Amino acid sequence: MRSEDEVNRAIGQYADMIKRICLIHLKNDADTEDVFQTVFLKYALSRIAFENEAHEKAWLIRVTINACKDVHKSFFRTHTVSMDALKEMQDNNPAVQNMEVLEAVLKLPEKYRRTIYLHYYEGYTAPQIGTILGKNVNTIYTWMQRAKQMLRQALGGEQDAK
Amino acid sequence: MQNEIKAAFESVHANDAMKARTMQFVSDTLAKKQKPYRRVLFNKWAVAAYACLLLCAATAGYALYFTPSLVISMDINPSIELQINRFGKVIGTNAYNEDGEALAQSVSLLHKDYNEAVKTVVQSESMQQYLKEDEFLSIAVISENEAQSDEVYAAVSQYTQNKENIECCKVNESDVADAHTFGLSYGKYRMYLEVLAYDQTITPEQVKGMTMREIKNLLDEEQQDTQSGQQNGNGSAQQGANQDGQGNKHQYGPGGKNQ
Repeated sequence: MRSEDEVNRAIGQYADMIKRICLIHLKNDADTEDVFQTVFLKYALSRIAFENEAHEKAWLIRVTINACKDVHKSFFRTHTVSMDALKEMQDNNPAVQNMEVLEAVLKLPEKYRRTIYLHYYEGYTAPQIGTILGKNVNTIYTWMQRAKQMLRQALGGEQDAK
Repeated sequence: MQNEIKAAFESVHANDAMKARTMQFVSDTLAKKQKPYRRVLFNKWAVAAYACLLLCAATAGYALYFTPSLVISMDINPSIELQINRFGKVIGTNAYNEDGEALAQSVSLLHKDYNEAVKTVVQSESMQQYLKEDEFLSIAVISENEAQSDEVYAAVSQYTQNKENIECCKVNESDVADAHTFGLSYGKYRMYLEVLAYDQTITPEQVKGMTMREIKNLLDEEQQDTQSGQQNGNGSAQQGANQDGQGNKHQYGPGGKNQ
């Protein structure tokens, strides 16, 4: 079991990352808050000794994605309207930039959203994403390729999807 | 596109209120988890201690209940001993001949009150048959525990008080300690010792094959012989032979019979 100081430090360091992962998986702030509590409680109760910060970060990403999947399994949440989260976030946080890009990403299938976020934002390579998501690296390459194509189409082919 | 995606996600932040609520939730949950854990731990110890106590009490109770503190030896021809615990309950029976075994099997005595058990044996069909045939029933109360033997002796004496051919006596266990080594019940061995005081040639084997009536008749004969010898001035050495180890006159024999 970890101390409150450790949990406080982890919240300060990883809250934004978890919020972003929640954004690409969930549909409203209430679910996001549930996931926040689940993830950091698991972190507090976990006895894992992290080798380094990267290990800790990858563990939190994995736990957050799983928590989001659990939320999806709930009957009521699977029947709510999508894109609510983005609007809710926009209302709460008018400073969000490149809203059309974010909207395009969030319109992608979930597995592509996840891959795009981990690759473009977190900077993970395809093999690293494969490890985190427990998927074959070739699958990740395929998903990345398709996600880029879909984004290009969604954004009118003007963006360079390099 | 990479920069734009990065910039888009970069502008997404968790708000401070959510962070604070999450921290509060984690702190509260950890505090709740710690308290029940201690309570469960305490309960575990309490339950374990209670179980140990219960086990000890049960073992002690079992040992106390199943330790005989007194024996009632009932001899006529069947020789049977009732083992009585300190609560006055029958916890076992020992038969010392075939008739005794048959009698023990024909009646249910275990866990009965000693008074009831004695009545059951006396009123049993085989015992009544022997009594009708003018056989002699000896009921000996044997114990080291003076208080309990007094109580049991008083109760059994009261029951046998007006009954024909039944006598009751109280014997100290140390006086008849060798009985079982000769294969005799305490009651029969006591009678053997009485006869032995007059006739040094008699053996436990001889006594074993005799009914209590036969032993009593033999004792009466020996006593009469001794008395007549005394009257002739030859039997002074036998004085006091009819006394037990406590210096009390036995309840049976001429003039001492409970009838």
